[in-house]
Amino acid sequence: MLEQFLTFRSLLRILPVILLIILATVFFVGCTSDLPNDIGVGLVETEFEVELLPLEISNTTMYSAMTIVDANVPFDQQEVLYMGSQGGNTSSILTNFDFRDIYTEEFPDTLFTQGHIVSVNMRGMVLDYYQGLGTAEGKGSEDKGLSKDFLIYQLTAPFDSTAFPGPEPAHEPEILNIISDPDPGTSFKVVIPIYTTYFLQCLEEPGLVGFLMTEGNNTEEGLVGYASRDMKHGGSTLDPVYVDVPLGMIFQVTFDTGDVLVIESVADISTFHEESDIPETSDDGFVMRTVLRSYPALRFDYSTLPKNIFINRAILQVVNDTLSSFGRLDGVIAAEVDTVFFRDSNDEFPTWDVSELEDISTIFFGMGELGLDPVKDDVFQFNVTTSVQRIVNDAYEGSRGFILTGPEGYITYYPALNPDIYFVEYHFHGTNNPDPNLRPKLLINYTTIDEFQEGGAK
Amino acid sequence: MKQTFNLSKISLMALSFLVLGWLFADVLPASAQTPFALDNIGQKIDADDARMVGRGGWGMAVVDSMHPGFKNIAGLASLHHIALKYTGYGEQVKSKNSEDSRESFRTLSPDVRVGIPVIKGRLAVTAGFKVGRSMQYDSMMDSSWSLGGGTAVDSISLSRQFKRAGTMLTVPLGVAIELADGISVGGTVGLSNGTIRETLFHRYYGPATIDGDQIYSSSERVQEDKFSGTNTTYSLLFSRWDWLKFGASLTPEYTLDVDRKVELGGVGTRILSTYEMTVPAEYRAGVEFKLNNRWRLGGDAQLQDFKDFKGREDWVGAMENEYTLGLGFERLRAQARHGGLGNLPLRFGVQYRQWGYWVGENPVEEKTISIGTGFPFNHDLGQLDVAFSYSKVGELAKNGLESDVFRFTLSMTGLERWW
Repeated sequence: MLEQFLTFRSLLRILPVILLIILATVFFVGCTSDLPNDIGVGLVETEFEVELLPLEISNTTMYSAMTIVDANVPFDQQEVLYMGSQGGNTSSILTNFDFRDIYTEEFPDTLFTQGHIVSVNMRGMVLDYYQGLGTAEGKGSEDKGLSKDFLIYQLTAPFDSTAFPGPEPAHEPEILNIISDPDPGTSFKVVIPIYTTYFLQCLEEPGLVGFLMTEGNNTEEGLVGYASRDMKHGGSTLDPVYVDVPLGMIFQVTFDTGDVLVIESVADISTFHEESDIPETSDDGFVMRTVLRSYPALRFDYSTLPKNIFINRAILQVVNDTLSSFGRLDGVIAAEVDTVFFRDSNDEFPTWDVSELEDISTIFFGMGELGLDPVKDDVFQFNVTTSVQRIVNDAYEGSRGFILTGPEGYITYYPALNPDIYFVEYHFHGTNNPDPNLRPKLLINYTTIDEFQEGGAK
Repeated sequence: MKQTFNLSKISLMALSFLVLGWLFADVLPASAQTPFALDNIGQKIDADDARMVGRGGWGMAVVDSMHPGFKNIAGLASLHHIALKYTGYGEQVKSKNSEDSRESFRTLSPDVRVGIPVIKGRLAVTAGFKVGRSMQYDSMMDSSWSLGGGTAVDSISLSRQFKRAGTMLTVPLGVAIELADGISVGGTVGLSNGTIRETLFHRYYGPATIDGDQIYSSSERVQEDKFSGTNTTYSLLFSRWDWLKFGASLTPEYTLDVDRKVELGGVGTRILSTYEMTVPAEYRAGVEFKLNNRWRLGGDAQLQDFKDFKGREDWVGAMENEYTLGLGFERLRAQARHGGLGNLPLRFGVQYRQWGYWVGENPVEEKTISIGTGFPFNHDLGQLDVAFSYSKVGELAKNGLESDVFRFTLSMTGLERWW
C-alpha cells in the first residue's frame, strides 16, 4: 500500500518539489512563440543568388507520332459510330442484322405481311454533342446540328469487323432509301424508313444482312457520332430520355396492332475509309487525334539547361491551330516518355497498346488539362516542373520526351471520357513555325546558388 | 518493519521525470532565442546551475561536497557521494528592432553531469554533457516583385524565411584530485560536437491557381555544418583558507573539424566540403569570500578572445573579445527552529558579458540581474535550486536590435551512496 512507503510528513516535505515540477511543466511546455517576422532579417542573407530566372527552350531533337490501340476495346467495340467527313477523315457506318429466328409468340410469322406491317425504320441515336453541332464555319457556336443526307445500301455480304478502319465494302447498287434530315438539331435520333417490301424480302431467306449508312452529296461537312451497340456512356453522352431503349442501330417494325418489334444489330463499326495524314515531322505542325488515336511526342534540346538548378516552374506550351482543329472539347495530358519508345524496331512510328503506354509514360499532377476546346482554345500549357527537375537531376538513364495523350482511363488524375468516344483532332503549330511564339516550347523559371555553379566536391 | 520514505530516491525519480520532460520540451517547435543568435558563432550558453545563476554566475571557487558545482572540476575532489546534477531553463525573450517586435519562448537543458568519488574526499571522476553555444532563431519577411515582360508578367508575392538551428555541445570526461590540503586540481577531455543548420526558404504564395496552389515551387537552400573535435580543460582550486577561496581554469585553443553539406531543395546534387575552425583559448577565474557564518561574496571572470578565431572568413571580420564578469552574494541555508523562510538560502547577483562578435557594427553587451533560492532534500541528500534572471541583450541604437530575456533556471542535485 502507498501509505507503507509514504508518510504524511514525508509528503509535506516533497510538496515544494512537486509544486515546482508542476510550475516548470506549465510554465515551459505550454509556451508558444509569436510567428517569425522581420526581426533579425538584416543579419542574414535572405535572397538566392539566382532566383526565378527565366529560360525558354524551343529547339527539339526528336519527334514521334504514336498510334495507340486498346486490346480491351477493339475498334469494332468502340461506343460511337461515325459518319461524315472532316479534316481529311471520312467514315460511313456498317451494321449487320440477323433476321433469323425473329418470329416469337408475341410476333408470329402471320403478322409479317404487307397488311399488318405499318412501317419499318432503321434508327440511330445521335450523341448529344453532335446534335447541337453547328456548321463547319460556326464550329459549334450555333445550336443547329449539321444538315445531312443519309443513304442506305445493303452490303453484298455481311462485313468483317477485322477489316476496319478500311475501305467501304461492296454494296448492292440499289439505294434502299435516301433521306435528308429535315430539321437537324431538333431530334436525338435519326429515323430512316425502309420499304416494307424490301424488309419482307429479307425474311424470305432469313440470314445475316449487312447495311451501309453513308452520307450523300447534299450534306454539310462534319463527322457526326451515333451510339453503337457497345455504348456504355449513354447517360452522359445522350439525351436521358433515350437511355432506356437499345442505343445502337436498330430496325423498328410497327404493326397494325400497335406493337413494335425491335431488331438490334449484331455488329456495327465505323469504316474511316479515309484518315487524315499524320505529319512525318513536327516542322510544320503535329496532330493529336482521338478515336483513331495518334499521339505526338517531342524531345526538347536540354543543352541550354544549366546544371544543378532548382526548377520553380516549367511549362510545356503548345499552340493549337483553331482553324484546322475540330471536335468536342476534350482533355489533353502531357506525359514523360523515354525516347527509346519514339520509334519501333523498323525505325517507324510505333503502335502501342494503351496498357503499354501506361507502362512507358510517367504523369505527374498538373500535367493535364481538361475542357480544352479545339476550335476556341489556342495556347495549351502543362505543368512539367517535376519532369524537368528530374531531367536536371539526371534521374533517368537515356533521355526523355513529352507525349501528348488523351485522358486515357488509367490516368486517374484527370477523369474524363475515354478518348475512344469523341473524335477530336488538335492540330498544333510546328517546331519550325515562322512565328516563334507559335512553336512548342518549355518555359522555365529556375533558382540556383553560387556553390552549385562553382562546383566543388559532390 | 515499517519502511521509511527515502527522499533521495524520490529526488532521483523526480530528476528522471524532469529530464524526460525537458528533453520533450526541447523538441517543441516553438523554441527560439534572441535574434542575435542568427549570426556568427552563436550565443554563449552558461552551463551554470541555478545556484550559480542566482548569485551572478560565480562558481569557480566552490568547494561543497554536499552541493557540488561542476563549473570548476577541481572542486569535485571533495565528493563523498555520487552526485547527479541536472540543469534546465525556460526563457521568454522579447526582441525588437526599430519597427517590429516579437515574443518567443524556449526551453533548454544545457547541463547534465555526474560526479563519482573514487577515493572519498580525495579523488573523483566526472562525465556528462553541456551545451556551449546555441544558434536558434528564425525570421520571415514578405515581399513582392514582378517577373517577366511583355504580356506575360507575373506579380510574385513571396515569403522569405530564414531559420537557423543548432547547438555546440561538449561531453566532458574529467578527473579531480586533492593534491594537498585545500589544493585540488582537475582536468577534462571534452568531446565537442554540434551542428548549425541554416535554411533559407522562399515560398511563392502568389500567383496561385484557383485552387490556391502556388504556381511557382518554393525554393529552399539548406547549409549544414557538423562540428567535431576535442578540447581539454585544466582547473585549479585553492580552498585552504576558510575566508577566501579561489579557482581558475584554462581551456587551450583547439580545433574543430567541420563537415559542410549544402543542398538546394529538389536538386539531386549536394555540395560537400570540409574545413577547420580554430576556437581560441578560454580562461576562467573566480573567488569566494566568507563574510560571516552565512553570507558569502563571490565573483567570476571569463575571457575568450574570438579575434583569434580562425576558419570562417564570413565571421572573422566581426569577431570580438568575449568576456564575462559576474558578482553576487549568497546566504547559506540554516536549520534554526522556527526559522521559516529565513532558513532558506538566498542568492542575488549581477553579470556583464560582451559577446564574441559584433552585430550592427558594434559589440553586443548582455547585462543580467538575478535572484535565487533552493530547497534541500531530506538528510541533505540533494537540493532543488531555482533562479530567476533578467537580461538585456544588445542595444537598439547600437546594434539595431535588442532583447529582454526573462529566464527561470532550475537545477536538481541528487546525492546517493551507491557503494
